[in-house]
Amino acid sequence: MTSTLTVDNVINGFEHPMIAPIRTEPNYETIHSVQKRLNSNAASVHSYRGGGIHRHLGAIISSTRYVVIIPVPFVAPTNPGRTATLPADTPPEARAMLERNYAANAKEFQAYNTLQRDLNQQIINTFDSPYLQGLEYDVVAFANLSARK
Amino acid sequence: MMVLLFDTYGGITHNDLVYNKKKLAEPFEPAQPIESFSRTIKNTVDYTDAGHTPFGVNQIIAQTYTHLFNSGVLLDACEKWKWRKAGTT
Repeated sequence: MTSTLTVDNVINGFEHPMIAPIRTEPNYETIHSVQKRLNSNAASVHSYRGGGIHRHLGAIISSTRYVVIIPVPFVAPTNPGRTATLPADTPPEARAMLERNYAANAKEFQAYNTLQRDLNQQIINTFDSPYLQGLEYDVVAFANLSARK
Repeated sequence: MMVLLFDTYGGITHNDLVYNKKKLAEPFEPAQPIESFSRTIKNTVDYTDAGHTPFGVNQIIAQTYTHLFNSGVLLDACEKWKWRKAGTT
């Protein structure tokens, strides 16, 4: 199943919307099993990046692991800023194109962040909190961590 | 977060990585399902990746090709692969 990424509804499109909680101390096997489910989830959400075939898989695995699967690097979208940059003397047609590009980039960036947030939430829900406390930052908790790192 | 979890709780040691790399060198047993062989390769690649010592793409392909060729059961497919157009998989 694949889903189109929207800001509000990512997790419902996941192949594994629920991941069974792990109530013991994590080890390689349990973390790896969760990683595989997160991979499936990221790969069930549409993206044109990294060749497009594996959708958002590149958002959750390493770049070296990704190029083993497909030789096109997955480059995460970057923040396009609050507004489109439009020089004062931009002709109307070019202005319209820049605004469309900005809107598309902003939507993709926002959606990518939503995906990261939902994957993070799945990780937090899967592992018991004592095992995650060491990874948490005082002020922002897990907000400055991507699902990968 | 997953990298931090692997680093903190994965328990991946240098010896484990050495042992794991040897697993990639284990020959393909034709009596076993090809899925089992494929799974072993994927798990080995995942493990080295989690341990921050990933295999290179060419290394994985060369090792896998060698195992399949040496098994003698997929010679036609190996021959096609050998003569495939450069840059394709």
